Amino acid sequence: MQKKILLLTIAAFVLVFVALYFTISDSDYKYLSKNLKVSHLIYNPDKKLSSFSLIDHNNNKFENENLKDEWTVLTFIYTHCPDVCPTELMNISTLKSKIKKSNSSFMPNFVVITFDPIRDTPEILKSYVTHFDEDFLGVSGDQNQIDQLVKDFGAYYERVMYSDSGELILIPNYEKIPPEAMENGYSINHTAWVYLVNPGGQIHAGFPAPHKPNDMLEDIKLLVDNY
Amino acid sequence: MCFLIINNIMITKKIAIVVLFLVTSAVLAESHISVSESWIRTAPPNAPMLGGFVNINNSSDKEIKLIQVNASGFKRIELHRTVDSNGTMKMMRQDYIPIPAHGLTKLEPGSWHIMFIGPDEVPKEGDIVMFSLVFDDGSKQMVHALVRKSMMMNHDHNSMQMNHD
Repeated sequence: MQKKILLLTIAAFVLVFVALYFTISDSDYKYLSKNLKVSHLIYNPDKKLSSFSLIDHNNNKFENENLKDEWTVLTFIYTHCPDVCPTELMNISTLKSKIKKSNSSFMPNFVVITFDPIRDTPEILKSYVTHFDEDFLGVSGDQNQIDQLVKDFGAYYERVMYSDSGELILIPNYEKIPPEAMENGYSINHTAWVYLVNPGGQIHAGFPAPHKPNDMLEDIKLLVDNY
Repeated sequence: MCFLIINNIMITKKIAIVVLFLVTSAVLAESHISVSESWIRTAPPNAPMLGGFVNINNSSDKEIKLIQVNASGFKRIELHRTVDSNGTMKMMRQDYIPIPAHGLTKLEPGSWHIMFIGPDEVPKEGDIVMFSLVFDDGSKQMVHALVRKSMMMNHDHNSMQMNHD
């Protein structure tokens, strides 16, 4: 009988603990969601980032492990982008300066992955991304693996070209890029979010455009403090 | 013979009048357009594209279209507009950029812009890039654009908001 009471007591404690745990997590989530100014909490412990192996701009491997143990600010760009991507990279550079000036020991890594590894080789990316900030790390590699990551992050891109008559032609991602597109050039329609990856190597939050470094900094502080 | 000479003089006069009319029209049309805040964004030394921005003011009673941009040192130059389509930023090539009657069109990041494709050499910060704007009323405007990082040093408040947080 005593054994039964003991078991019931333990079970009750476990139930209360579990209920309390989820209540607190839920309230944390609500608190964060309510107080985030310019970002969305998109962390889902059940949805792991796919396994990937890419190449950084120093020709080193860039894999899941490179996103672990530290916070990372991550974004996708392509170097033939005249407007959106340079604006994005400049804003991230400003964000980095503001984090540095905020007198905290916190400093995330900054990773810039190309949508367009066919044109953006590691060498091209290095020259491009370090122009905006010497600490930015460009990442290129296999298109299929980049596509998988793009999908994991909930990002999107599509290549477009113009025919000789000026008609807009969409180049589906599953099709080989036509020779005339390589010759005459193509642009890429794409989402322009900046992501925060947590030290567990998982997507934590996303910042849609337009990016305001001051507000981003406040949200990042809130997200990191509540991790 | 004499008749021929007189006739030639008359034809020359007619041509001169037509030329004068065209030049006058061009000068008058040109006066309707004024430009300000022109700049080109600094880009990495290997950048395949440069974005150009300028405010164009139209003081006439009719809409005027920017139809072409000419400059040396580029593979080609296009007019573009960045459009946010449900979160996807689309780079839309434009046949023209409208300048409304008695209005202003701002070519700025995230909106209308000039795309300088394939520069022979990427200009450095502080350089001046010259280009010519061609409008559908026949007028042209020469622009001297400063190469800089952003509108941060600019006194235009709205433009500052675009880039300077």
